[in-house]
Amino acid sequence: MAESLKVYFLVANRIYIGDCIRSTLGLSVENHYSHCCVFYNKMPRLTEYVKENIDWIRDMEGDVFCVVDTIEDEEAKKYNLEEAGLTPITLEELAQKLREADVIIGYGLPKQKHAPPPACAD
Amino acid sequence: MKLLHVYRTEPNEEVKKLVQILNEGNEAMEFKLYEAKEDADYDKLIQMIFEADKTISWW
Amino acid sequence: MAKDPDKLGIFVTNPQYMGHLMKIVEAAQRAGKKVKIFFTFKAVHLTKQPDFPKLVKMIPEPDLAICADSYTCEGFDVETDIPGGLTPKQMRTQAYHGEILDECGKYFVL
Repeated sequence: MAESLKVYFLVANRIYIGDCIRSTLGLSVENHYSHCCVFYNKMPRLTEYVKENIDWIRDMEGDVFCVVDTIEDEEAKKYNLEEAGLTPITLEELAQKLREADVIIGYGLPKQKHAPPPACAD
Repeated sequence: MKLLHVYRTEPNEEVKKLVQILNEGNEAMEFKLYEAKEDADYDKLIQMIFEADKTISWW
Repeated sequence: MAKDPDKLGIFVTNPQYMGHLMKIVEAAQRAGKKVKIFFTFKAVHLTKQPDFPKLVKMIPEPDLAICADSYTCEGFDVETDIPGGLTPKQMRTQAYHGEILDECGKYFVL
């Protein structure tokens, strides 16, 4: 049996959040301690699929965090914590966790400068 | 521990802060992928990845 | 399985770095290193780049795969449109990412 690693996925781009959570779960089911850290953005509209993935990651001793001090918009922060139920973490607290991580994954594209147009705002 | 930070794009303030905390007590190297052009740049990257204990590739 | 210290795992999450990927694989092979690569989510669009079949030829079949679910989610057909040079065995799940972490002594994300 391979060693269980502490893995942290970091996601900065809104379009990549849902898939980053799926990929995080992919390593949870491979017996790693797998975490997803959402930076900057409001979570996309929650589907049952995403909610189930978040629950499953937590069942497998991982977590999905919202890096609260990277989000300026209070409404977005409230949605991530209260509606999506993400675990709040500060950048400083996350940094301390990353010091203990075996694998850190900068997932997908960087943060976008502009808010999403209606076509992809959900 | 020897850490290698690879920047796919120019690092922003949050990345710089995380890198600073990660580097405390460690030996750190960095590679700007967004400036890589020649084969020699990529040879250097491979050499650094295999020299480092851990590589972190930032957005 | 013990990790191979001379093998570099590459997790490709970004759809815009075909040039970097080719150069990194070429440099790894020049240095006598092996690679194992997994393409996920929007990075599966790299399979449509002209250089992709060349990349496939540079790497043994078990050491390159794409996420079949991502490929379907991006609108492609996993049966009738297997990308340039790949075999059905190379259309995999996220478990392949786990294999990369288990097998490769070094790991890199694009």
